[in-house]
Amino acid sequence: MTISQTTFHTLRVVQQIMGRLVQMQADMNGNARTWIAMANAQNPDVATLAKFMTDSGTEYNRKLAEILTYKNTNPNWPAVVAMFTAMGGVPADAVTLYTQLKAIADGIGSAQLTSYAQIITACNQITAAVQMPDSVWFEG
Amino acid sequence: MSLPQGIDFRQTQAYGTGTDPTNCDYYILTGVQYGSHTTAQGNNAGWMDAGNACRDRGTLLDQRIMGMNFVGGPTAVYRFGIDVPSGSYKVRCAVYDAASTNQGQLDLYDSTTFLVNLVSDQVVGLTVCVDATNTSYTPAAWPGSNSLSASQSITSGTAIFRINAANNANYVLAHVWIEAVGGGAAVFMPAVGGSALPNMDVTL
Repeated sequence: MTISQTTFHTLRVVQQIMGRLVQMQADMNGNARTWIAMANAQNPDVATLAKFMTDSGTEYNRKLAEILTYKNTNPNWPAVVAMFTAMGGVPADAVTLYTQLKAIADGIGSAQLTSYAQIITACNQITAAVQMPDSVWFEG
Repeated sequence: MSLPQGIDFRQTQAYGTGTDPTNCDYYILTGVQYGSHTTAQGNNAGWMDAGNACRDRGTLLDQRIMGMNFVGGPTAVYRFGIDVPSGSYKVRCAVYDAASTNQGQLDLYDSTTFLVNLVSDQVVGLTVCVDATNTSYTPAAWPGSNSLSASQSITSGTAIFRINAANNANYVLAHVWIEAVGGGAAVFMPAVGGSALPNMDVTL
């Protein structure tokens, strides 16, 4: 017996994508604030802190790529879009958020991070571009 | 991925000093966040099962054990996953609640494969802080005395700290830590050479 794909399963995917994108926005802001604190404390050394940042950029992009792979390869994608729309969501909003987050993730990967000052400058740009997502309680 | 990775569970980011040790990151999220959350060290980490809650418990302690996460029994399982490359690893933990006695238990899994029991099912909290070798310390002694577990091979890509909440009690967890055997994965200088961050005029 094969369990059929139902709206329960489709809703799960919608929730996963929503959760991942919005949490990534929160992480980009929260992690940048953590990196600023590390840079101000000059601990860890610049190379280690830079690696934290570039590794995070890579991880953001990995998470985004998984969503794109699902969209491009899973036959259930039209049902996911239909479910999201039925919930009142606007598919274009997801595309916009995805695109904005990817720009930040790519930017981290190509930034100059060879001094604490450069790291702080880059993180200030991140926090200016990515605010914490709206939330009933603080999660950042 | 940057290892070691420590996770300090608490409710409020700024609680205590608000500054975690270099390789540690605060974790204040509730619900299933594995797959969504990225630590400041660039690792994918989070709870894999819903039902957890977190609390701030005592600012006079080491930052790593000021807060805690708790889950409820009985007969429930809660997993906290951290993605790691295939290799050999040692872990640390603090099964502890600074403000009350509660229950504690912790296993280490390689995805679905049981590796080792780190902390046996027992009462913890207040003066009892248990490390990854199932040794109890006072919270004042834990920072300088807690030990790494024995080396474990993790090949699935995900190390899982797993609480088996067998009893009708709250099971607490203050801190977990994982490092590659040999002192952690090598830290490499990132590729650099760009100028300003591109596309930073994005307005959300």
